Formats: sequence, structure tokens, C-alpha cells
Amino acid sequence: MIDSTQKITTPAQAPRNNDAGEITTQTRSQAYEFWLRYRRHQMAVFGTILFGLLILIALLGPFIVPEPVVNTATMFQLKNKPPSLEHPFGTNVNGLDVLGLVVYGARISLFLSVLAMLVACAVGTVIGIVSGYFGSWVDAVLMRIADVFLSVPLIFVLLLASRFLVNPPPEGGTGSNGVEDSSLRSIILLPLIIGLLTWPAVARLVRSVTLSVKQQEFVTSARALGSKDGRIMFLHILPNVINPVVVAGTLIVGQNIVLEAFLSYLGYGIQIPLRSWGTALAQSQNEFVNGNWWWAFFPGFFILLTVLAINFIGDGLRDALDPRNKR
Amino acid sequence: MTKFIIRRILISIPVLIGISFLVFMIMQLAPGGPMAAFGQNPRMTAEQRAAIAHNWGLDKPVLEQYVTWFFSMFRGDWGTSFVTRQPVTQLILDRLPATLLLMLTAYIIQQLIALPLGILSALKRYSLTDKVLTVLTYIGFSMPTFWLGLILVYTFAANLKWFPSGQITNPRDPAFNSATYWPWFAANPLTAIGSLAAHLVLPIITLIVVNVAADSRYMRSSMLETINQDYIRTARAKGLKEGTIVRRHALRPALLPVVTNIALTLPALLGGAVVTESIFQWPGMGLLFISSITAADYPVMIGIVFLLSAFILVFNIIADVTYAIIDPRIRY
Repeated sequence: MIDSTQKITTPAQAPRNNDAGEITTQTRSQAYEFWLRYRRHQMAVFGTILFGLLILIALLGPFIVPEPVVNTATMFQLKNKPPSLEHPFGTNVNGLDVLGLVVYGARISLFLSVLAMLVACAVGTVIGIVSGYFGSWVDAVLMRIADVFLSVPLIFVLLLASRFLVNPPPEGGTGSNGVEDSSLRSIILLPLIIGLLTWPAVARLVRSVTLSVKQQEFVTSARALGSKDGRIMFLHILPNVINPVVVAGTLIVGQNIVLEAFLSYLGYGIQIPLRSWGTALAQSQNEFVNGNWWWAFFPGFFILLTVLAINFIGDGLRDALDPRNKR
Repeated sequence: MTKFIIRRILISIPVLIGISFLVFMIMQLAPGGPMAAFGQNPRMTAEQRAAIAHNWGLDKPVLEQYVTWFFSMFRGDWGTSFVTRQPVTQLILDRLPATLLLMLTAYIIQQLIALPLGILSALKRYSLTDKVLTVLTYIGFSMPTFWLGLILVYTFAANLKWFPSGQITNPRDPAFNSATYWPWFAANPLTAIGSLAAHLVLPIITLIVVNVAADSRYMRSSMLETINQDYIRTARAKGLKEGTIVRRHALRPALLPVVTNIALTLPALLGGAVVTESIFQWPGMGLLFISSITAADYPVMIGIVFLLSAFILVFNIIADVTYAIIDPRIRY
């Protein structure tokens, strides 16, 4: 990662370092500096490796493990089988391989949580910068709107908004709703809904950074040079808010994974045939009486591992990206 | 001070109006609109549906509907449930005691565990105890609450049979908060309290794990900040006993930010209610909310969201005000 080894010649002065009168120094890039600080955070490194493995499972797993599809022919033979070599995580009441549920669920859960985070960060960053930069009534209005979203009980409103995931009742009142259609709706709308309800935390953060950055000289000089507001906000201020947004965004992904899992577990999130970690363990408690613990245990354990890895990474990023921590 | 409190309350009013608007618009825009509960009924004709819509003023402009609705909410008329035809306020009031019992007990136990753990962790910084607690708080903080609930049910209810797997009373006893419950409670207080306690154990553990992790971290960092202050070093230099320093000099300032945090976490606990109540079939507001979603029972859903939002706003005000009162450095 070392960018270059530069030679600085010091002609006028007496040779200090070697006979040729050259001092060898190493220029460290910003990225290398960051990596040095990040590496020091043991838990963050552990989290990164763990998260990398989980991503690999999500990307490559589906090529190895067959997709869990209910097969009425083998359903009863395969029902509630405990973990074995053939089914390392056992099978559920429908004869589905729990490992398959975990592997396919990883894709949806990670994709959805990251997408929802991107929505929240995009909206939150724009609103935060605008609010902090313009101040006065713009700020007052935007921050009151943020307060509305922050004062609302999130899980309850998400459950309320899950009404958007159901298909509209057909005219005349009867008829079944298309299954494929509702699962497609859920994967598109759910991250949007989560993102649009969680942006205010990002907006508040970005606003506070913007407030201090806009006082600095380079912003004044940009304005003196005749830069327009838009240019100052998104060319000069934006790069300064990215670090805290990255940290917050990381932690939001972890939060989203748990939120989504709970909604889908209740049946108000991702709709089957798409499967997330939440849908994977829906209804699993009904089989406790039959001694089936593996169905509920493994998908949830993967949720815990993922969120743990993400929280470690977020902490490492916070320490490494904050220049005040430079030692 | 009074001025500060009044101003703080006035700021909250537009926020409450905003919340009501958000919730109202979700209902309007969701598929089927406010009439979704009737859209699912195949025996209803289009004319009947139109008649209901007309009766309820649902054919008027949306903004006019909102204003009418907002003022009736304000007057305390929260409508009747589409499912049970009972007034929403009555439904919620019936379920409130179970939720409050769970929340408040969990809340007290949570503080009793989190604060000492945080202080211990801070005083023994970088020791083995601190490191173990740090790892545990990370795990607790990352815990998917509903999954923890499931695992507890499997282990301690289904398998070991130490605790009941759900509900708030035993099936043969009168239902909680029903007409027969309180006379029964008065007749056998010991059995009743014992039964409540047994039913509370698993839901409380589920509910507090994440919060204990977060709160003990908060206590730890606050304590660390105080213990490194100059006046603590002075106290040490005077030869005071470590215990005296911690109790008399460090603890009180370290608790300042924590008190605010305590007021702010109660709403988070209310949010956790829906998770815990759904896992343990605890007959509180969360469970009522979940049962109202499938039925598109909007009056009930909105009533609960509205009540909880008001709770959250009130606790935010309380947090701000207590902070202003107990911290002499704050001028308002």
C-alpha cells in the first residue's frame, strides 16, 4: 500500500542520513493512514473478516446449496429432521433445508438492509446539508420534519406502513392477490419505506457537521470567488460530511437487518417466495413442542453474527476516520 | 424555568400535528385506503361500500377529512374498531395495564443491572472484567430481540419448563384485567403475584438485553469521563478512600447525563413492547396493534401510534427539563 519512496535531497545542509546527502522518507497515502488506524482495532478486523465471509456465503452459497422450494413429494419424509451431514442445519416443518433458508436469506436480508441504508443516507445527507447551510426558516422547517420522524415509534409505524406491501383489494372485493406480485412489491417497497422513515438521524448528524464546516475559511473563500450555493454545498461541504455518514450508515445497516427480520418474521415484511432471514424463521416457534430448535436457531444466529460484525466494523471506522484519534 | 417548560411544550405541538398528518397519509395512500377493511369482504356490493364511504365523509377532499379527523382525535373521539365495534379508547385502556406492568418492571430491573455494570466496568477499566463485559455488551447490543425471545421460550419454557411460554396468567385462572380478575387477585394475592412474576421473567429478559447493553456502555463512558477529572485526582491526593471518592465525588456528576438517558430510553422500551408482546402473546397494546394490522383496523392502529408518539414527546420534554434542573451549569 506504500505509494512511493521519495528522495528528498538537501543540498545546502550537511549530510545527515547517508553519504549521498539524501533523507529517505515514505509518503503515506490517506488510505494507508486509515488502514493503519483501522488495523489497530482488533474487533473491527475480526468484524471485517466475519462480514466478508457472510458476503461470500450470500454471493456463492446459492451456487452450492439448492434453493429451498416446498416439494410436496418429499415434504413429509424430510419434515423436522435434526442437523445431520446431509442437512447441517436440519430441516423445517415443510421439509425445507434450513441451511438453504439461511444462504438464500442472506442475499435478500443484506441487499435490503444496504438499500434501505442508502436511501436513508442519501435523503438524510441532502436534507442535512441544505438545512445546516441555509439555516433560518429552511432549517427550522426541515428539522421540525425530522423531529416528527424521530418522535414516532419506528416499529409501529413500519408495521402500519406494511399495509403498502399488500396488494390492493381487486374491484368487487374478491379474488386472490398474485403471490409473485406481492413478493416483488415487498422487495422494492420495504427498503424504501425503511429508508424514508430512518433518514432523520443522518440528517441531524450531517446538519451539525455542516454548521461547523460552513464557518471555515475555505467556504468563505469559495464564496468570495463567486461559487453558487449548490456548488459550495455539494463540492466543498459534502466531502467533509462523508466520514461521519459512512460510520452512521454502517450502524444503520445492522439496525435494518434486525428491523427487517422482525417484520418478515411476523409476515409483514418480505413476502414468500422471496426469503429473508426473517421469513426463514417465521412460524418456527410452533415446532418447539416437537423439539425442533434448529429451525429457529440458525437463521437468527446468522442475524446476530452479521449485526455483531457490522457493529464492530462501525466502531473501527469511527475510530479510524476521526482524525482526532490520530496517534 | 416555567418559561423554558412552556416553550418546550409549545415546540412539541407542531411535531404532534406532523405525526398525525404522517399517520393519516399512510392510511390514505396505502392500498385500499381507509376502506381496506371492507375491500376484503366479498359479500359487500360496490353500492354498500360507497354508502359507507359517504356516511363517514370519505368522499370529501383529503385535507378536509384530515382536519375533521384531527379535531375529533383532539376531542378524545378516537372512533370505534372495525372489528369489535368497541370504542378505540376503551380497547386501548383495557390493554394498557398489561403493557405498563411489563414496561415498568423491565425498566426498573434494567437500570438496576445496567448502572452497576457500567460503573464496575469503568472503575476496572481494561481489566479482565471490563473486557468480558465489553464483549458481552457488544453481543447484547447486536441481539435480534425477537430471536432471543424464541430461544428463551425454547430453552426455559418448552424444554426445561421453568417458566410459562407466554400469556400473562395461567389458562385456568381468570383473564388479566377482566371483570373477574381483580376479585380473584384480592382473594389469592400470593398465588396471583407469583403467577404474574413467573410470566414476567422471560419477557423481561427479552426486553432488557439490548437496553442493558446500551445503558451500561453509556454509564461506563460517563463514569470514565468523570473519574479522569482533576478534582478526583485532588481527592486521591488528599488520601481519601477510593470508595468515598467513587460514592461522594465521582458518582453524582457521572449520573447527570445518565438521568437524561434514562428518561429517553423509556420510549425505546415501548417500541420493544410490540416485539416482546408478539413473541410471548402478552395481552398488551403491542399485541392489539399486531392483530389490528391484518384486519386493516385503522382506528385502532392509529390510536395506538398516536398515544405512543405522545408518550415519546412527553418523555423527551421530561428529559430536557430534568437535565436543566439537575445540571447547575445549564442556563435556560
